[in-house]
Amino acid sequence: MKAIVDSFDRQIVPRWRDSAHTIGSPDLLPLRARKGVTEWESGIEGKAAALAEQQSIGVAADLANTAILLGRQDLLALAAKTLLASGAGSPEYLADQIRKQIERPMGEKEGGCPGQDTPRREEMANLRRQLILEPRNPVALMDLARLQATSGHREKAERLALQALALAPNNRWLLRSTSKLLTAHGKPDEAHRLLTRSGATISDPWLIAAELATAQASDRSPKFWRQAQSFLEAKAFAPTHLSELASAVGTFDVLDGKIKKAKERFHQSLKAPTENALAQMKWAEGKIRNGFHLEDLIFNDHQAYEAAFRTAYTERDMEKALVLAQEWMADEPFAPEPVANVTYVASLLDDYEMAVRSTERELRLAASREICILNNRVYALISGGKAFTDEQAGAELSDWVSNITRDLRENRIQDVGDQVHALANLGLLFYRAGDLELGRKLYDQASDLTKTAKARQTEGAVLTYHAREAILSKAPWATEIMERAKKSISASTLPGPTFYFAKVEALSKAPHKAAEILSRASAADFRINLPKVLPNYRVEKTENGLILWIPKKSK
Amino acid sequence: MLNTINPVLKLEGRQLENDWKVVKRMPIPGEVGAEGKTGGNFSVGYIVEKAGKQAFMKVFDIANAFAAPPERIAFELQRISSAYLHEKDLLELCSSAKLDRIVQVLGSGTITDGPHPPLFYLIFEKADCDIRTALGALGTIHDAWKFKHLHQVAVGLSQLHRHKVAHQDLKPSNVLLFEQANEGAKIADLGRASRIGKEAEHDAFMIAGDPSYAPPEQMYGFRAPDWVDRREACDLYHLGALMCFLFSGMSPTVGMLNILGQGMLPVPFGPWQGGYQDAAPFLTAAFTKFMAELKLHLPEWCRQELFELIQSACHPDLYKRGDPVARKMAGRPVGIDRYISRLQLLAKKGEIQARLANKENAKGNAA
Repeated sequence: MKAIVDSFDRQIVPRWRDSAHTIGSPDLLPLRARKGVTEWESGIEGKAAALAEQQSIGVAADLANTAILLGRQDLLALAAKTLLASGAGSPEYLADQIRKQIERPMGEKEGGCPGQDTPRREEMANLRRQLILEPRNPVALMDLARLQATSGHREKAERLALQALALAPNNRWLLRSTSKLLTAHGKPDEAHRLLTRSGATISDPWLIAAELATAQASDRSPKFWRQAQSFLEAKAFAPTHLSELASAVGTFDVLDGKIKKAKERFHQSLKAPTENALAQMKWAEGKIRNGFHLEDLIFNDHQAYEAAFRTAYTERDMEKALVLAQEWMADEPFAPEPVANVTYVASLLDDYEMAVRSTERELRLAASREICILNNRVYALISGGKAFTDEQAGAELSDWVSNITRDLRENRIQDVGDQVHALANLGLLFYRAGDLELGRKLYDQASDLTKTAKARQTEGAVLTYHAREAILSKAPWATEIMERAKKSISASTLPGPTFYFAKVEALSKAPHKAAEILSRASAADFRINLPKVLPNYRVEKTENGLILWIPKKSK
Repeated sequence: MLNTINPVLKLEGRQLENDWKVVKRMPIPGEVGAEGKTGGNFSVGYIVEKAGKQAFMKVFDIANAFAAPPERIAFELQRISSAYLHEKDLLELCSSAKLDRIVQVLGSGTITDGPHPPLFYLIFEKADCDIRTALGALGTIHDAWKFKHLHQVAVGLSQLHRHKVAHQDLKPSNVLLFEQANEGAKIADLGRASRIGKEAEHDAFMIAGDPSYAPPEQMYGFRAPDWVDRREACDLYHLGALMCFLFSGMSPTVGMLNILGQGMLPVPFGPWQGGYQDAAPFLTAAFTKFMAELKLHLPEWCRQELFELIQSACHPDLYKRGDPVARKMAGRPVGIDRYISRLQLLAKKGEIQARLANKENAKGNAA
């Protein structure tokens, strides 16, 4: 099993939520407040007085419109008395709007996880209708692109996103969303090119943050590195605008081994963090070995699914991690990372049905499926036994075997981690098929590959899964593999393999309890409660977002 | 400041120049029965009479200036007198140009007799009511009636635009009906109007009229450099908003911002401090959603035509607002004449529809 959560490289690529869930988020805020005073007179008191005299629905409607705009629920209620009275003859549309407003005043959004409110098909139909009414509607085009990406129609999604961008080429949300889409589709170089070519990027820290992240994802040098540094040094914008930029710069520093600088940048990113910055911070915590203890911040941010997932995963609370990964998957249904993490954590919990179910969308994709997700799926199909009991799953496995052996033979798989995973899956398959020798050979090949720098972290995981199979199949070399796994795991800090190793260790002591140990119900037994050192930090929720108060360094 | 010792409130029974007699004061906001004349924060309304004919008098509250701090009194006096002179000039222009869809001024002057500063007044023809009373009535007869009056309003705007004047505060309460005199609808209140070559204080206001009907560019603090885009496109938006109001009760401004939500509601109405350019794509999306909902509630017989009229007149992108063909012409006019002819056509169609419906009803009754 391969986990994206354990991946060494996480870039702070922008989030992409639909427009309804983006409005009100920090990345739509202007860099500088608009100048000038807006002079206006609504005459609302006069309208209310007129209604008292005339009691006509026209006057009431006039008052209701102004009351909605100004958020005057008292005067809206007054207008509603006339408009909603039986036999008033108010226009149906107005009456509906007034009822809604009384229940839920302007701007108060219904709760719920983004992307889960409306069934996708209905949402698509609505957007298409709106595009017929107004084809030059970049926001609707982008929302439709997101739905298409979620349904796996990658080309359509990219085409729609580029159409949207053509209509509003300097719009921050469109640029960031398109860069996210392209990166999620494995085209970070195109995303990077898009951002470097836009005239808006140079002056916008949000776009520079995305440019840095996509440069990193595509192994290129960032174009606006100097500009980024100068924005951060000068604190040129409010902290919320610099949060992701500081995080992006900090990420470069971490990977360059400049830990002291990285810490400073991540501190800066936490002054008014976005949930994406929190997730990045959570990723960086392990690398810079100085916990920021972000739990309060993450808890307070209702959209910080990924950061919360990473927290639960780090604490080896896999049940919670699975729920959070599923919420993250609902938030970014088009992106492969959350899917890969759901399958991974579900498999750690030995919930193979869930692991298989979460990969269904990936299976429907016509082209360029994520190899990591497919490998995770195959692992779940074999481990759960479905590949041997279900005809369709069996056929799927057979296809996978012929494809993967060809790809391995012809060296078509670029990522070493994916090669390791594929070989381990083949090893698992032969163990389950009763050919223990061949199974061991393939697992050993996978282990050998983990000696390379890029896959070193996965050695413990490969040995742990190998040990499990050796124990289950009562192979004579089970103890030897178990010892090797123990040695490797003790040197590793990765929560997933450590969690699963604890299970396999229990299994080695009581192989007759295999069904009990290798089940979701046993998760709590293998959770390791890590000691927490609570820092003297304080989190304050303000109208402008969260503020983290960091204690002064004692001299 | 309006209070009981203010001379502007004590004019009942006074005889004015040209034989006008002050009959009755209209209630002021805050008083029981106030008529709610919106926008005139320094004027008081009266009913006046001459030879048995009643009219409406607007008196500018000069005493308002004296309520200001001492250092601002001179400025306030100048502001009120400038407002009076600006409106008077515009009304006289309308009278001399015989703009029959603008409420006519019947007289103007200054009340100087009395222990108070001079009081400026304007006398207008008195209407039966404003167009808000038309809301809610259903059926093709009423639809035809609404289109007829909308057509007259559009003619009024066109008359103003021809004389380089933009109204800037067209809203339901500023469309007055003269049904008894068989004169239909006329546009009232030029207090916030702009005129090329003649600056007024309110020209600098971001939202000159009622914010509930204001075009989005004003709500988001954008001032287009060109007169047509800044002023005539605003008037056209107001015309579209009036259509929307008469057929649904909703203002497109409120409908659009309501869909957009609190997160992007502009200051001072909400927290969002961004500009029009940043908001534009989201405004277009919100407007389209609003229009999609609205379309379902428009009368079936004229749904598509009315929808297209409102959509083009109220487009949140001011550069796309207006008749698409006209906007491509030299000077990029909004094409108000095209709205006039379409509204006239819809009024005629509505009458035919109503006649057909009546015939059907008669047949049904006979059977």
